[in-house]
Amino acid sequence: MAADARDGDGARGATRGEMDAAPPFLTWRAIYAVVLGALAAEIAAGIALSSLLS
Amino acid sequence: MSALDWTVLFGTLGGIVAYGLWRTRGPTDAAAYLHGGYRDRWLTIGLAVMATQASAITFLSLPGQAYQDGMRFVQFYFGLPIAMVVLSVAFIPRFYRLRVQTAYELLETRFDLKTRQLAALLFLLQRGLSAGITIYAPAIVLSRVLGWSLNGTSVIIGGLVILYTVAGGTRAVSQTQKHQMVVMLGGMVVAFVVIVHRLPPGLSLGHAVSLAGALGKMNVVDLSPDLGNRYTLWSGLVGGCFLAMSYFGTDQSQVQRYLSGRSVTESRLGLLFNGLLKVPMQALILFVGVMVFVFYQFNAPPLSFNESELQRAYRTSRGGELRDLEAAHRAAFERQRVAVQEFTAALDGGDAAAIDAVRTRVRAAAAKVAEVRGQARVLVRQALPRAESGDADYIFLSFVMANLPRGVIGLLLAVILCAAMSSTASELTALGGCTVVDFYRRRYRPNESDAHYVRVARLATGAWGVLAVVFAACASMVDNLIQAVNILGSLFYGTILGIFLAAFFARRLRATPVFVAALLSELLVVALWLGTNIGFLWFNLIGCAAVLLLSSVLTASGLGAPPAASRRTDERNR
Repeated sequence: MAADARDGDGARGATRGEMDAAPPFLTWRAIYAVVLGALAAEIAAGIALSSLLS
Repeated sequence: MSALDWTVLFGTLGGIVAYGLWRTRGPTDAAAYLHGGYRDRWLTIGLAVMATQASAITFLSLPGQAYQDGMRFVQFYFGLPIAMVVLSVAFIPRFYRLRVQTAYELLETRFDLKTRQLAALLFLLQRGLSAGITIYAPAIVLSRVLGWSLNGTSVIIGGLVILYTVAGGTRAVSQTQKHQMVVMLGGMVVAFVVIVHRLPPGLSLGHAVSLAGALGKMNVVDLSPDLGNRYTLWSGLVGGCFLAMSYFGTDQSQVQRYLSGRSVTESRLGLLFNGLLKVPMQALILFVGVMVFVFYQFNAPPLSFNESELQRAYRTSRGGELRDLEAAHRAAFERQRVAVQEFTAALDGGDAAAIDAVRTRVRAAAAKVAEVRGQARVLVRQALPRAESGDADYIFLSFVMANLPRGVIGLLLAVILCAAMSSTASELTALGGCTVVDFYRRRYRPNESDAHYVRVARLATGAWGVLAVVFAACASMVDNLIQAVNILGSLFYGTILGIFLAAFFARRLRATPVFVAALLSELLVVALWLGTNIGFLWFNLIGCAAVLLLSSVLTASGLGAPPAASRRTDERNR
């Protein structure tokens, strides 16, 4: 089972080049910045809501 | 329930499961059964990851949590997006490079078999117990709707999930989860719109939020540094990040989801999609609970939302005292309703001084209502010592059944059951897969046929399902389901994460020191849980740090080092 499970797909045991490949729309750094930027905005909104409404 | 509700409920559930089984029809090999065949795209992975985490508990317990405790639980998820970025950068490439089938397999490559199996065992232990709670939660729903016994309903639901999971395996789970997640997200948006529509005429959403804020329910972020406070920005960012890293990076029920991707890129994007959507989704579910709270400022809530236990308590010798409390609750609620109406009128007037003055009265009236409800809870516990006296998990369901229109009730029950099926299915396939890959095949039968491993995986998945149903019978002993699941996870995840971080980032650490450190750290976490009041999210950090620290000390002390002669030979050979 081990062989067919692991080798049945080209992505298993991917090379460094494949692993660093960015998606077609943005670089990885830009995608990480979007995710973390959204979190920062949510926390800022939460702090504002908490101080305004309590 | 109306015929329309039953049609919506069974049409949604049946349609999704039938689609999943149709998409995965035909003979199954072990790769497809255990790992989904490595074909999934990022959207499927992202939705499956979200569906795995969003159990029925999320939809039953979270609105009740917000009703009683406000929005602050959302901070629990603040560390998750950070964890998704860390996992994308550090974990996923390593899993792919080493071609692992379970997360724990990687630990044998870096350390040894005993460390791999210790981590796998900790996973089986905590996930097996959690699976019981994830089956118990939807059992509350159906037992209430159909009037069946709770344990009998657990057996029926658990049996159905076992059949579907055993038949379809991982591939069927992934195929159904993306549709289940769409139903869950859509259902909560519909619930939010309907609940806002059910608020009193003339009460704007802005006023509803102001009222919730005045009564302490819009406490989204707490900046206090108190370690005993369960939900603060700091515990959420640090403890939540460690919990999420451990859950998504080392829990096979999640690792199995993104390792089914067709490439590293697809797996990474799936996790980051989860990182982007998770906080808004949880905030929406909590906000639905806050709106239910606002609804019950204008409409009298029951003395306890756990009505079946309340009715049983009325029939005991303490029934007279309970009736007195019921009358006190009605009077307190009427005083609160008057104060709330004055508050909304003051909001309309826009005079800040008047708003502040009325806010104090509203808070005092609400505190009185809460005090009477607390007394009722104590009385129920005294009258029925073995009964579940808490009612947080019943709040949302009670509201849905009593106040929402036909069709929407069926849709929201479908949301809860979709969540139950998706998370339980992931858990059972991961438990079965881990049992086969990390124990059965690795230790006992390494060279059997593909069909043999599929057969054993089916048996293991079914056996874990039966065990989960047995645990479900004990789940009624906990007061708040979502907290129980997260506390249980936090007791084990820190240790498991520590082992993985040692494997990834501390090259000089040896296998035996890490193994001993993991055992000692687990004992330390359990001792701290039993003996202190530290907020549970910190156990993720403490367990992880303890593994890294202790294994460093033990490695430095020479534990597990090869004999001196062997070391000299190694050095000469370099």
